[in-house]
Amino acid sequence: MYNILICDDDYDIVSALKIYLSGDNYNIFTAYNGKKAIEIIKEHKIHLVLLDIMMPEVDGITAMVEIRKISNVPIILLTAKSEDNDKILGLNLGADDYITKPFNPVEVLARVKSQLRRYMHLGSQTKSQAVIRIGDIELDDDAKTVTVSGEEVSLTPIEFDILRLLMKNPGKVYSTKHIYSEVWDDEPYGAENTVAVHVRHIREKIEINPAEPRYFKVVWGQGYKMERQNQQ
Amino acid sequence: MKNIKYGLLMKIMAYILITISALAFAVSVSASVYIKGSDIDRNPGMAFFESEICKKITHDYATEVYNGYFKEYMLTYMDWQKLEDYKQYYSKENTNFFFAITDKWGNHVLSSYTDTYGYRNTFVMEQDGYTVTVFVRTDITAEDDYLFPYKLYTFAHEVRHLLIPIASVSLVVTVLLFIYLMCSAAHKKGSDALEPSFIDKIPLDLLLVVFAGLIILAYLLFSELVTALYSMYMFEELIMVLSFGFAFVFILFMILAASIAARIKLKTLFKNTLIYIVTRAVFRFIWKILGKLPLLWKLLLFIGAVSLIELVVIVVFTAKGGAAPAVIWFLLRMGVTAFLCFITLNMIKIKEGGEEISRGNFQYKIDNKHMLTDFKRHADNLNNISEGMSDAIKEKMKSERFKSDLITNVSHDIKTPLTSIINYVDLLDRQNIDDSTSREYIEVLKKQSARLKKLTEDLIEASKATSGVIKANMEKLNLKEIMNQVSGEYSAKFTENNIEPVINDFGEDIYIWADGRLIWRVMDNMMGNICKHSHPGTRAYITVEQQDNRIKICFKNVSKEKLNITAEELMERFVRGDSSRTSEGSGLGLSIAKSLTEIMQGTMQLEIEGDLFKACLIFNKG
Repeated sequence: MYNILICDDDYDIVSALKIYLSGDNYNIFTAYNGKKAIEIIKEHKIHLVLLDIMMPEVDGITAMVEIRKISNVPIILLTAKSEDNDKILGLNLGADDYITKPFNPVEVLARVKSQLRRYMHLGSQTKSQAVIRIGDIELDDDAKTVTVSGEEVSLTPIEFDILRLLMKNPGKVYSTKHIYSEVWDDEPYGAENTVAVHVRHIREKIEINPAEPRYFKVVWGQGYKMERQNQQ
Repeated sequence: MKNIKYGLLMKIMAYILITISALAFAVSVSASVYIKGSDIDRNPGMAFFESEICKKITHDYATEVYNGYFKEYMLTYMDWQKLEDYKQYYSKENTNFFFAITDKWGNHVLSSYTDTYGYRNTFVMEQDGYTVTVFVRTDITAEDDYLFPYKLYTFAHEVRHLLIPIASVSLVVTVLLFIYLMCSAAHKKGSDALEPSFIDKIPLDLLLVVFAGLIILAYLLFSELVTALYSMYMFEELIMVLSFGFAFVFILFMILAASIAARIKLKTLFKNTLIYIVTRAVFRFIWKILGKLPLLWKLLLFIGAVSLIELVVIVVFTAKGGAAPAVIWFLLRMGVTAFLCFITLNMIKIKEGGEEISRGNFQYKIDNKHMLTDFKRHADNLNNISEGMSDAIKEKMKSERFKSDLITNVSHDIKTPLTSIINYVDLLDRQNIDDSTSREYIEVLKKQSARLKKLTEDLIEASKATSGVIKANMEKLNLKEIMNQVSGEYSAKFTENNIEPVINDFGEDIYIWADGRLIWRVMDNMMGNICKHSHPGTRAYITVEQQDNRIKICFKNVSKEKLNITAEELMERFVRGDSSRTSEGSGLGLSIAKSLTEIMQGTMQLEIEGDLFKACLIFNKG
């Protein structure tokens, strides 16, 4: 049982989130402003915070800064602001993730799960040589398995090879041509767009929101890359 | 104080006083100078006796006696009465002299009374063998011509010690009054402001001419008068006339000095002259005519003038030879070259300004300080255009930003309730409701709330794209890679909608100059449109062409709805090919794509031919 604090000034959103998260067997605390949220964190053992930015009295950003002074708990920001600057500000001030409103409940659940797993289990696992881990994604080259947030994902051999190539060198941009010649071990003859199709499939399997990938990023006009592990 | 200080009465009094004191000064100075050169201070009688005036009077009396009394006595018969009259006229009581006339043998012929005591032998005149000797009395008492000059001499002797104090005092008074008059010039009673008087308004050169004329006239008049009076020994009148003449000229000079002082104060010394006014008018006239002449005419005039000078120089100097023609020709050439360089520089400045403006830099101002009138006007016009454009753009940007802010704020406010709607519809969907009608309703709610979500997001994006908030991070991008990535991303959707994408083989190394993230958003919109609006079972053609320095990417597809709309309208916000507005999408896709393309310095063109829809993106080559 994990304790999750939901803080938003909109009562209905808090209720909806409570319903979703209760279904996944979490213990829910609720707050309707930043001040109350800080109080709850001081009094209870909280494992994850869902925090709205625009709130009366104490806003989400201020509350987050206060929370960071006393706790290392994962914080996911809920925000109606979708400008890049707001996201960067949030992440720089100590947020672990953000979800823009209006959000997809499934996505919220996935992100909560992902953050909890990282917070609770990271570092306790033994690492074998064959295991590459980036964020929530674990690729075991021996077992030929890939897990995301601890859940196994089934990839085709080609998809697995592409993912392994990119995860071996996180941050490096691979062009489709390069990927093709590495994975297919053949000269590409106008067949590169098959790589793009596979990449799309991989993203759909390992990313919570494939249109806004966290790990497997598209570098437009250049190729693809695996994001370097930079969170936490 | 001020009222009295610059009052008219005060000024008139000052003028009178200064004239008197200046006269006193002049008289006392000339008198003391005269005294220095004579004997007046020791013996005024003797000084008078030796003076020119005394000699002249004596000479005149001698002539008078000889021509009158003597000739009448010698040549005509004179009755007793007439002789008595003459005797009486030249008696001791009536004259200050006596005379004696002797012939060439020294015989006494005629004399008035003889009383040598107290007389000086002053004058001897010889004529026709006769000698006229005139004796002047030392103590002049009788009322004849000698009396007034003699009195003056004695008076001068009496006041000789007072002359220097009088001169000093009158000098001080004159100077003080002069200062006062100069200070009061251009001032009026009870006012601090400078105000020109009637005289100050007359052009200075005209005034000088009038004054000079007056002085010359006065000189002619007075000199005649003075000569006449002097010869008639009307000394009292002579002194009066001299004083008046002095006063007249002196006052004229004072008025002139005061007026010049006033002009200096009013700063109109040179401006208020006929020469200045006329010269300025002439120059203005010439300038105006030159200004109105077309530039070509001006140039022709200039070249004509230079050529004329050259011609004259050649004609005049060719015969004489020497270095002069070459030097003058060289100087003229230098002048012409400098002038042409100046014109060229003006042109360059204006050209640069025009280029800056056409490049969109409306902050640029052409410096037209040192330009010919025509170029100056041209530069002014360009500056005005750029200013107007700059203002218009600023205004437009401001209103766009305001609109964008408004849309963004409203959209944010919509997002919060929308979140609840989507979530609760989803929760409702998860309930085990078997009723098919309710299920259908929930489906509608789901679909419409998803549309609302998409619409809000597109709205924010569209307003951001048009308001200039988005900045492009331009780089060289491989188009082949982009097309691969995009078709990869969309392969599933194409299959789903039963559309076959056909991309022409355009080779490996075509690069475009664009922003990777923005180009994806543009492509996403274009591909999304194809998937949404293409007739199932048709092909969508994507072609890449290179045109000089531009890369043209075209998307062609067959619309499933009837396109009863023009391409221009389609690019407007919220306009869609189908007027029913039931299909998915916000109608903002093309507008967003167009704005983003423009941010990346590209252009977007739409063409509609029947059901064939063609959209082209044109980017700069990378």
